[in-house]
Amino acid sequence: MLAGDRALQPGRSLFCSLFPSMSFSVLPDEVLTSILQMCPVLSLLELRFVNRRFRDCITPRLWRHVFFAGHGVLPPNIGEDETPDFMKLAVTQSLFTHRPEGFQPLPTPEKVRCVMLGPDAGGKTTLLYQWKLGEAVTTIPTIGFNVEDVGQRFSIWDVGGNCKIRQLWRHYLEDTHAVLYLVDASDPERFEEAAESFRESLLPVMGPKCLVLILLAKTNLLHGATDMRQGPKDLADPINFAVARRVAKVLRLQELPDLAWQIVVPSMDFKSIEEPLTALLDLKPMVPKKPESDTLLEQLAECCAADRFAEMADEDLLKVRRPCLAPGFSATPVPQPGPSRPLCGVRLQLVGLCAAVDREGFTRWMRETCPRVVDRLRGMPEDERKGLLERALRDM
Amino acid sequence: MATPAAAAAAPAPQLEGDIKLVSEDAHEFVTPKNVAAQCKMIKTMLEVSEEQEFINLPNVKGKELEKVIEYCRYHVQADKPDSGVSDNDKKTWDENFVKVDKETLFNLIMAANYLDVKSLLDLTCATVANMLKNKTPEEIRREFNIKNDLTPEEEEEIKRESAWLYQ
Repeated sequence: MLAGDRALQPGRSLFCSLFPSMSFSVLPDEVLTSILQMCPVLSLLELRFVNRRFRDCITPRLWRHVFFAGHGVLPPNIGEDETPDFMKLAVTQSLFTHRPEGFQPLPTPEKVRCVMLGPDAGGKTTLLYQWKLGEAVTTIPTIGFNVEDVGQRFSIWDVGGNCKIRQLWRHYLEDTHAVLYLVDASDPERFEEAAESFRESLLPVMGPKCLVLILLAKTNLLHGATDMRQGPKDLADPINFAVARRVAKVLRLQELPDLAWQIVVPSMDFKSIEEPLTALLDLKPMVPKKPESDTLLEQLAECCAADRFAEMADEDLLKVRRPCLAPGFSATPVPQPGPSRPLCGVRLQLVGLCAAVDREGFTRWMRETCPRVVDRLRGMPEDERKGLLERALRDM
Repeated sequence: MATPAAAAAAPAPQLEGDIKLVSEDAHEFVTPKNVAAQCKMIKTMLEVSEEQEFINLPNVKGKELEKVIEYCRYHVQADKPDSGVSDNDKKTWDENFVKVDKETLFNLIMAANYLDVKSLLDLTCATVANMLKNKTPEEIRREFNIKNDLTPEEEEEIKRESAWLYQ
């Protein structure tokens, strides 16, 4: 019968025709999901069209996983009750981040050295002092350079961008971990100039281990806001997205497969730069000093050794890199992030505990230290969330 | 029943000696216990009862079971700190290991999933993920003999979800 006939159909392999059942249909959903999680983001977009089952397996949850697995950082302007569009975030991230396979950044001893470059009047100095001082300062065109320590371990050199002094850029680039290349997003007429100096004054003199963050400055003007603090600071925003695409095209980033780069909209908080740099440079999170021992926490750790929050741990808690300093606790139970699931369970237990001790303080603390956990809890049906927290409390 | 002395001395199971694994189609494989215990599912069974001489695996055929044992055997050896096998060698070995036809590959995934060998499951899933990369939906359907059951309306709906990307 038909096996033979079907084998003759063009484009079908003999194998498929003889064993039509041996394909994805035999795999349980969770296995198909793990396969999909390993596919590149742009392939996932296509895979939604394969059939209903593929479409149904590519859930917001899967996008969320892909986004965080790629070191995604939630944009700061996500409101209290919004559920972020993780597909958009994941796609945006993958379009505007490139880390070549096998990329080895410079080793980072104590300080991470960054050099901020780009055409003049882009706002480099203003941005540097905004990060450093938290306020907008009036600046004059930089002739030499400014240098400031920002964040916990970054020293940023802000070098004048006037076209006559661009050939001096190369002198600043030795031992540089990252270049922050600033482009004035509100001035498309100077994109070409930015691209030219990028290709001519920067790329030829940059070390192979150095990476580039392309900062889209003054995006607030594209949103009709004069205050630089205003306007969305993430690339999933349609206007920012469009300008990022345009800048990527003008800089011809697609033609630079060996360069590690990312496009970022800088916010007034240095974290918007620190987080992508930390991910791209493989920096270890700053580990706070070992806390005094706390028997309560130790007991907690012991009784939570089971794997019962494995799923939660995968999704969220592994991403919580900040220490667990909850109200009423002076200690940090799990300063090291890592794939140790039971320890992540401890964090969740703590969450339950804090909720019972001091609800208001707990909420504030949660929002500040681990927005993703909050987000995940919020996304759960009320019953499930209650049950989880209750279980966490009961198990202590 | 274990003797009280043995129970006191060894809370962890002894992984010495061999165990006979019996596949769905009645192939038998005598395997060192420490190799078989790479499968978390078998490890659990060994921990529950140390006395048993064979384990029936009703969901795995002999062909795949043989492959899984081959994988475990290699990794037990190669993952030892003093084995002298470089990560690169292991990677090459793994790559060659999954150069099999699709039927075997999907069966291997099922076997790794059932026997709970995480590294093998990851390896085989990554292999399939790699086959899905940079292909159109039509190419994937053809290659894996998948029927498109999406209505045109549903396809439109999916397009709308990502319309912002193509503006």
